[in-house]
Amino acid sequence: MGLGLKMKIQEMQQKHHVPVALRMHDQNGTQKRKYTFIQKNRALIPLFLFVWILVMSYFSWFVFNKMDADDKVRRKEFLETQCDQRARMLQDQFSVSVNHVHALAILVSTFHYYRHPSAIDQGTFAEYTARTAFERPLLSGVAYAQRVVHSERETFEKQHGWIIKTMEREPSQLRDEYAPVIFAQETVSYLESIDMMSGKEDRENILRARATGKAVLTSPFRLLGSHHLGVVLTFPVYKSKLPLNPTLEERIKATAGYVGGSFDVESLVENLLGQLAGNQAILVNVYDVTNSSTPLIMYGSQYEKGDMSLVHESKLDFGDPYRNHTMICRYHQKAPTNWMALTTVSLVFVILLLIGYILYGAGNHIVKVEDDFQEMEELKVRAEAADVAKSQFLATVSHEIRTPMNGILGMLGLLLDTELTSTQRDYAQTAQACGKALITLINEVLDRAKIEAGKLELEAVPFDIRSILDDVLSLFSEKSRHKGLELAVFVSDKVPDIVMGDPGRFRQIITNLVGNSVKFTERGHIFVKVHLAESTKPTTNGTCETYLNGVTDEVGHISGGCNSKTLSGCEAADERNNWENFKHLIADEEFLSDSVKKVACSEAYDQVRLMVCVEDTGIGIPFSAQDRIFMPFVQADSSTSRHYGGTGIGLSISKCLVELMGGQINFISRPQVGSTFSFTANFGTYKKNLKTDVKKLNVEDLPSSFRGLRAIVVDGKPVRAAVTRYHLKRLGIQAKVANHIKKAVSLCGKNGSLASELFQPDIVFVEKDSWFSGEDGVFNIWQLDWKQNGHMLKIPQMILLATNISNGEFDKAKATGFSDTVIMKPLRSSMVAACLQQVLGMGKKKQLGKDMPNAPTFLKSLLCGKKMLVVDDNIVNRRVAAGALKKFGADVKCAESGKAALEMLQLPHNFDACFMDIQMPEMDGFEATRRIRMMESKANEQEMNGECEEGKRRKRSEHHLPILAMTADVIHATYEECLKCGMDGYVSKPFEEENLYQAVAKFFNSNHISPAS
Amino acid sequence: MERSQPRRQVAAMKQSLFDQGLLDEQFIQLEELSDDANPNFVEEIVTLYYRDSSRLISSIEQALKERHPLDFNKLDTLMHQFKGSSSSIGAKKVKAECTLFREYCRTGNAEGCMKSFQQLKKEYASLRKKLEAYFQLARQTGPMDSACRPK
Repeated sequence: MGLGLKMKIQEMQQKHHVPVALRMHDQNGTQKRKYTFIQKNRALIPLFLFVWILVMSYFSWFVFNKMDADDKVRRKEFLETQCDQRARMLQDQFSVSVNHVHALAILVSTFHYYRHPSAIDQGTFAEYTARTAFERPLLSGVAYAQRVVHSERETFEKQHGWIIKTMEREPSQLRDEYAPVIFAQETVSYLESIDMMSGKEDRENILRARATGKAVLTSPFRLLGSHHLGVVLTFPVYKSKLPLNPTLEERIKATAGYVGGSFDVESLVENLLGQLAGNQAILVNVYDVTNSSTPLIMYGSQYEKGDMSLVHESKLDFGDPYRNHTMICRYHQKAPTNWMALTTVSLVFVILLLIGYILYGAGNHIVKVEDDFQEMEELKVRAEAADVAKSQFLATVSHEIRTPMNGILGMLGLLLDTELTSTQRDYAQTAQACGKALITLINEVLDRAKIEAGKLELEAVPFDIRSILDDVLSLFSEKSRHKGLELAVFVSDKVPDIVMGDPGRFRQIITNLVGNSVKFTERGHIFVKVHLAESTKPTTNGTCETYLNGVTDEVGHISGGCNSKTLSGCEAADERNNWENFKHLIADEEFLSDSVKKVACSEAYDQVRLMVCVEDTGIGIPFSAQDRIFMPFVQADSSTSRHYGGTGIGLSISKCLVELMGGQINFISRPQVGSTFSFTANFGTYKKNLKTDVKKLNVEDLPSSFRGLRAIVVDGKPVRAAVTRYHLKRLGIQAKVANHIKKAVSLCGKNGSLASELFQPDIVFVEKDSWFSGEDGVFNIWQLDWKQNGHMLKIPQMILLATNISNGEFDKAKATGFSDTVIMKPLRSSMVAACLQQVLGMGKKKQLGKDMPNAPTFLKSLLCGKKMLVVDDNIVNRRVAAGALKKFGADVKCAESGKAALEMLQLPHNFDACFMDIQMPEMDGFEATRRIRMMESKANEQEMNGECEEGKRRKRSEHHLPILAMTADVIHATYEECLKCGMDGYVSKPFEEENLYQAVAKFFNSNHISPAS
Repeated sequence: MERSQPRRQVAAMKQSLFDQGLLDEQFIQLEELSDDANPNFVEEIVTLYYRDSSRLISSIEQALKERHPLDFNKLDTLMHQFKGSSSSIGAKKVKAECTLFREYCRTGNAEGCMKSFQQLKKEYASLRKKLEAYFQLARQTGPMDSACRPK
């Protein structure tokens, strides 16, 4: 029952819970603005509660009824068994007594009639019956009445000495027969001599007993002695043996007397019930129902009492077939209320009610939460939309600002080119500087907005990391030199020459980081280091080691005043860049020959992961500000922006860019010590078989003429020496490092040792610090050494490396024997190459002809021997232009007007080019050119006609004299005009070599061979 | 060694000309143009400039005197010539005055023209004086210099 209930509850719970769970799951899945089941049916929730309560009430009622009905059945069964049990017991007891009376009757007949003389008298009978009374507990007493017919009355009376009396104790009247009691138990001794036939009940009883020969019972009546209800039992006694089936006559004839006993039914039943348990609960009534219409009560109260709703009737058989008796049992009290069932059911009901309420509450809560969720979702979408809109707006606005800004800057540029007073120029320059700053800021904001709007896409073009780094360094070289900072770059050999990526963005990151470093560093160094991200792994172990035992070491270094572990000797925030680890890196690289490695690197992977570190020894970032350093428009300290300027957007852009490149940026910084920013980025490797336009690569062509040279780098600081060596290596120069000049000398060998086995340097690079720290004497000795020992093929060139150098120092250096050229730091490979070329004086023309367009030598080679015509009305200008061209070896003729020029250019002439002033009186440059062109085309036509004869001789070209405009104001419009009237280009009027070269090279380069042929 | 003293003087003088803003880098370029074949190129050019420009200046003066109405176009053309010559020798201040003058011409400001022309003449004259002194000094050292070289 209980289990069933539980299961039912569970079932109901499940029915309601499962959909809820499903809903919630669905919602997680779809995530869309869709009303869920519960939300849609929110109105039904109270209804659900109501229905739930109704159903649960009904259910509880049903359960209660069922429990109650069970109880009732049990009660009824109990009553039945109890009743039956009582009836049977009563019946048994009764029949035992009856049997005994029967035995008494036989006793009387045996000893009173068959014996002569009779063995029984009143005394014997009384005694016997008294002693056997325990056998008949239900009988209040027994008596024997003799049958006396009227004729025998007198003899009988005489014999017994008393007369027969009626029940009313009066002498009996005349009758046919009498049945006077002759023997009586003492308890009923008052019956002696009373004629039993005088009582109506007894008479009937006697007659019936005589007729049937069995025990018969009277209907209940009030007994004589007590006033209890009772019945009288009568047994006939026959004096002779009866035939087998005796007739009524025979029975009457044989009847000698009657034994009778009175049953006190009331006490009898009471006794009986007293022996039974639970008699209090059950009410018993015994009825004589011989006459079924009017049952006579034998026991129990007349009035209806007790629980009338439940009655059980049991039949009683007292051995008298003539009389019927029943026992009726009922409960004394009405069935008690079934408290247990009631409690159980009410408890269950309460539980169900609570469950219903919980479900109701949960439903409401779910609705509320889902409503909130939807609201949030909407807000989120709106906020996101707003954010995107903001970014887009920013992007658009910045773009829109940029366009007019470009105009402003352009116009300012033009304005600056015009003639201005110094004040005006100052104003204009300030305006231009401000404009440039503004446009940088706008570009940065635009970048950020673009990144945020997800519009920024990175290019993937091949580029040379090393040259980009060199470029960036050259940007800052002026500043760093001014501040006296060491600025250096080092790229690991493992890094491929050319990688695929976005050079612009890479440059932007580097520029930003280096720019910051330069901005915040007053002394020490800035060091950019690039290596493969994988190769940090072995070095990190090294870091740990050095860090562990570096604690005491560091103190030592500081107290020693010199820490030579870093680039400049200043302490840096990140230990990773110090020499200890740097050594590992370099050692690693030297292990394999670089060519093999590069190939291996680029072939093996599609991607390389580069690690770039920018280390400085600046003011550092306060610890409190370190966590918000990458937030846009946040600088470490608001005072820094006042002190150093800047917007603080750069780092956040760098971070975004780095993340776009698939890397991470982080930093280590210690205030007053310095900061090290490092980031990783992924680049594709450049596959050579992928034929990309090589011209597009901004690959710097480093001259190859230095390959195979050998050099010694004298530098006390190993990191710096490694940087120098890296640059030399790029030029193909094999370099060894000596930390002191003496060591360098020993490397080259002392006198007497064999030269072939020793390292024979072509160049010696000496760091300025090392030089000044070392005594000059050493140098002199060394030089002497060299001069004395003729075995050296040539004296190595000594080149000084310096960040900044004063005139005095320079003179001193020259005096010591250094070459004229001092290589100024920061080192850049191209710059080193240029300096070396200057020093070694080798291959200058060949090497630099292409690379350095402003080289006057190249101009010379171009213009040498060419015949030029300079047309200008202004004699001064004419002379200057002629002088300039003559200087490059040209043969110059002058004309002072357009007309004169026309005359001189009458075909055929032998001029190779013409420089034409534009503004001239009479005939200006445009007009003159137009006429010349006209002339030329006429001549060409003629030649076409007469080609048969002349064609073969002059097949090479038709007449076209290169004419270049000379003009002071180089504006675009003028240039257009120039081209329109047939000029080939223009040069600015006071000749600038570069400008002149560019203009001349265009058409002379292609015709280079023509004059020779 | 005895030569170095006047040489230094020449250099100092030249430097002062630059410092006063009278000359610009064009002058240096001119100096670079002078070589073995043409050792006194700069002086030659400058002489040429003064000869040529004095003609121009008198033309401008003439034009300014004609007063009513001023022929600004003519003035502008003349001044353009003058400016071209000036910029060729790198006479910075004179050139700046020329620009100013042309600006006045363009706006038709006769008063301004007159004023700036007076200023121009002043600058022109002072530059001439200074350059003459400079060349004189340079000549004193110069011949020895050139004498050293094998002709």
